[in-house]
Amino acid sequence: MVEHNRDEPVKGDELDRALEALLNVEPSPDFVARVRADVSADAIAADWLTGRLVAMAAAVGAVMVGVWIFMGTQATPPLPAAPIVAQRLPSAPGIAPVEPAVNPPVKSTPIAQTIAAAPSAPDVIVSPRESAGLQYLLAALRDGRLDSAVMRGEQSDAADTPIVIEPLTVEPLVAAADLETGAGQ
Amino acid sequence: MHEWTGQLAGDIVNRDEELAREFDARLVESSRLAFRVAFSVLHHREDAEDVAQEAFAKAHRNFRQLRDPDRFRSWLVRMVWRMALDRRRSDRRRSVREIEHGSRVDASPSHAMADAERAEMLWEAIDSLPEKLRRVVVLASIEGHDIAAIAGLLGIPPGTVKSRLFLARQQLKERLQWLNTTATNP
Repeated sequence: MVEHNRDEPVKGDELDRALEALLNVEPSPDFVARVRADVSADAIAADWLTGRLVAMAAAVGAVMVGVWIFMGTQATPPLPAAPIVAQRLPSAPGIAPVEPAVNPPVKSTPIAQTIAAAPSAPDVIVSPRESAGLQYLLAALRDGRLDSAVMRGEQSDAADTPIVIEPLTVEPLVAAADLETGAGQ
Repeated sequence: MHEWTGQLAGDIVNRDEELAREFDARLVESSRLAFRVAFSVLHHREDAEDVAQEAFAKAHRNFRQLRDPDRFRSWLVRMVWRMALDRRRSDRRRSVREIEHGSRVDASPSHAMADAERAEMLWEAIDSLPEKLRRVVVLASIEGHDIAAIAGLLGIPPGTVKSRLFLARQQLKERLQWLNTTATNP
């Protein structure tokens, strides 16, 4: 029979023995095996997740590179589509014939070269009214109705001649009496 | 280039295998400690095993930072203690406690009842201690840890361990005066 004497203080040794007995508990025999299985499953899941993350990162990177390339293509400044060739117009007798102006070749990217070399490049458009006006001007020069020196920008002697203003003569007004008698008529 | 890549992959595999071996060694040597720490808080075998298992899973995820054995055990004790406290707080519904008798199981029914009552009172006395004192006294009663070992596990100076252990024992003795039993023959 065990009796508890509550009045006497507990001894240190007894307390230690009681605590050790209380905590002297062994885990179940398969505890370590279960932890091993749990850890390996966790590692497999982590590897799977890591693989997924790497794949996603690669996909996002590929998309970003594609977008970057696309944006770079769109941002290329537009270059002249084709050399601008002026129309050959009938030359006037006093004017030396002017060779059609041709833009100098532009060094450009392969894409721009491809565009410039396209056979469907449009010609320079000159409005009919502008063309008619230019032909009229050239005809006037040819017929001598227009001084070609002026057209070439040469100064004429008339430009240096001072302007002479002739003096004005003011006639006296008709008298009022003459108006009444009709003398002025 | 190809040889270098192959060597790198081989190094990574070897390092992972070495880490796995080290972790398994830590698991074997620390499984009982983790389980007992959890049991001291939860007083329930299955719950204690669950908590210890979760703690080992966390330790495995962070094992690259916990390769040092002392650091590993210290981290594990703190983690198990915290997780067990969280579990106990969140599992108030459980009303039945499993009273463990350890090696003191007696064949006599009357002795078994006395031991059960004794263990229940001991648990109550331990649970009534402040947490700082409780940790010290529990670790001192597990696997015969000495002052230095407890100080290393808890990351506190040995003098602090000694004073806390003294206070804990003092309070336990006051609460457990009945423990001084005398066996009388009828």
